[in-house]
Amino acid sequence: MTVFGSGYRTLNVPLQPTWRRLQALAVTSFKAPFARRMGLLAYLFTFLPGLGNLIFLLLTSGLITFGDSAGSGPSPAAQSIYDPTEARTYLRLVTDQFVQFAFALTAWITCRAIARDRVAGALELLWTRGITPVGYFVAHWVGSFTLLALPTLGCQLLIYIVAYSTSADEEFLSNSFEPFLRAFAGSAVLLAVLTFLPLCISAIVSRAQLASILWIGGLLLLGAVSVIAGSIFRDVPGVGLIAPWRAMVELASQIAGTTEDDLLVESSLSLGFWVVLLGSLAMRRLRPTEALA
Amino acid sequence: MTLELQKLTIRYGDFTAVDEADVVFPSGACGLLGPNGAGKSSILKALLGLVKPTSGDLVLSGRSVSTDPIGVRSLVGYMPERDAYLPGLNGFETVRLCAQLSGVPKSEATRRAHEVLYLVGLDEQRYRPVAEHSTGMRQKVKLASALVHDPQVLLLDEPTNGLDPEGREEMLGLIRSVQRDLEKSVILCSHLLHDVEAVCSDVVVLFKGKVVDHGPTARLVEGAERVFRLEWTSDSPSPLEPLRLLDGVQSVESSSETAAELVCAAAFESRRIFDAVRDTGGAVRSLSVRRQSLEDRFMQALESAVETGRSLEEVAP
Repeated sequence: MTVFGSGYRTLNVPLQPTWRRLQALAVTSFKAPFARRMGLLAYLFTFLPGLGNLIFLLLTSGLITFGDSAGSGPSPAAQSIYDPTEARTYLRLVTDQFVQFAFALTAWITCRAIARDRVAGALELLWTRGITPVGYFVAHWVGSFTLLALPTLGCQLLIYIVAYSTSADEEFLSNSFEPFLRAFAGSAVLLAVLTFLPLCISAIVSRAQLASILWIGGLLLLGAVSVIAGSIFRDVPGVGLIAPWRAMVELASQIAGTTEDDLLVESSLSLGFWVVLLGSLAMRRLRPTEALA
Repeated sequence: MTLELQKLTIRYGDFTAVDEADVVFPSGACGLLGPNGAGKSSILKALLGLVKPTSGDLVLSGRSVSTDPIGVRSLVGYMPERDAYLPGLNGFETVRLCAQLSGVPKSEATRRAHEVLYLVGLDEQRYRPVAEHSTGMRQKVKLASALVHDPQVLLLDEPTNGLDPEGREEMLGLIRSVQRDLEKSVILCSHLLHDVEAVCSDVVVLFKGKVVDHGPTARLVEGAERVFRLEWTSDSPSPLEPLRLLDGVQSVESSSETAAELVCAAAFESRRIFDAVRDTGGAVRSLSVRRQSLEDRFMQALESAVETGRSLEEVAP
């Protein structure tokens, strides 16, 4: 085998900054489920709640009508359920309707991201290039976040634009923009934490399946504990927020302004605890020397 | 390209992995030899910026690892020893991502990935997931990944690991071609010293964190003894004692009733063995000779160091 005359060239282009390098890794992480056709189909399935909301909006706004109801417009009852000027209309897509998909995606994709790389020896291939372990983690986080954001934040944005475009109300923008923005921000924070925690678990453990089991098992177990604790300590506000998912939903609701309770501090503290605990364990495990163990 | 270890010391707690190593790796192909725990991996880690030297420095083409670890990393193409691939990606995607992570823009990375995969001999297999590749193909993907960003120096850690003899020769030929035709400097870490002899013009030997020898591979090999494998006919008397008395014969070890292995000086002539056997009234059935390899010499020096309690530096040939 000779390489003589192979056309190998000297590199004569300016090198990219760090964020562009990490972007390449984030895109690879995002595209991980699409390596197989079944993965792509499964992912498209997660758009159902968002698309269902969009169809419901079109129905309630009277843009889609069926049979005798044609021309009669939306019923007041339907409009009260689906009011595009209210923050909870957008937020419940993430906190209620997308829950099962969110858990499935984080267990299937996020929990496997780093653990799978570790098993395959990819850390050695990646960290010996122009990126750091922290950059590597952030790239995977962005990839996972984007994966969950498209069927949720993407659909929220689409629904809002459609609602604005089809609204006859001239005050729609001024009435709805702030609630939408707050719901959007609350949802984004929820998704950021929802992808950060399982990615930390993926970085801590050595096997992808174990990471998935720990994540889902931990959510269920802490959910059960929070229910029991809530029933025992009824007078203590926010005791149920020891469960990460409940804390995420509460924090998102606080940001969106869709709840009467004032539990912003409690939910932030609860999530802060989990983020710091798992984050520090993950960073401890993702030492540079691990790449050349 | 020159790599300089300047009084490099790396400690992990109380354990000293590299102890004031002070050596210059010349451009071209240079082997890095040493048994497990000699400090090879620590030097690799330090060169790749993954471990901070306790004292001293590594300087690659004027860039210091202490002050510019990422910059040094961009000059190095690293081929890891362990099986390493990116799950779910095919060979082409793996090499392209490696180029992008090294800072090559996407369009250029795409072109270069195809070029280096062609260069290492991966044709249509580049579109198959690396997880489905054979060991040989994976090694080629790793080599292509190491080459794709046009590094000044290739750091190859056990590049023939897990390959069959044919695959080994192909990989060694490829490395020789890369070094010669692409004018890349190569630092080859291997426990298969045949690989080092086959590829490297220079060698650095490490033992217990110290550089115990360095210089041209030819110098280390040329002064080597000759090892003869002698067999005589069953009706011949044993020639062992007369052989031991010959000038230049360092040792004679019987391997069976009619066979022995002789370690002789480099200039020893085989004719004298024939004469000695004939003088005892016997006849030679076969005589084969081989030059003592770098591995033999290295192991011999290590054994001698252990037996005599002297440092390898003192006993190294």
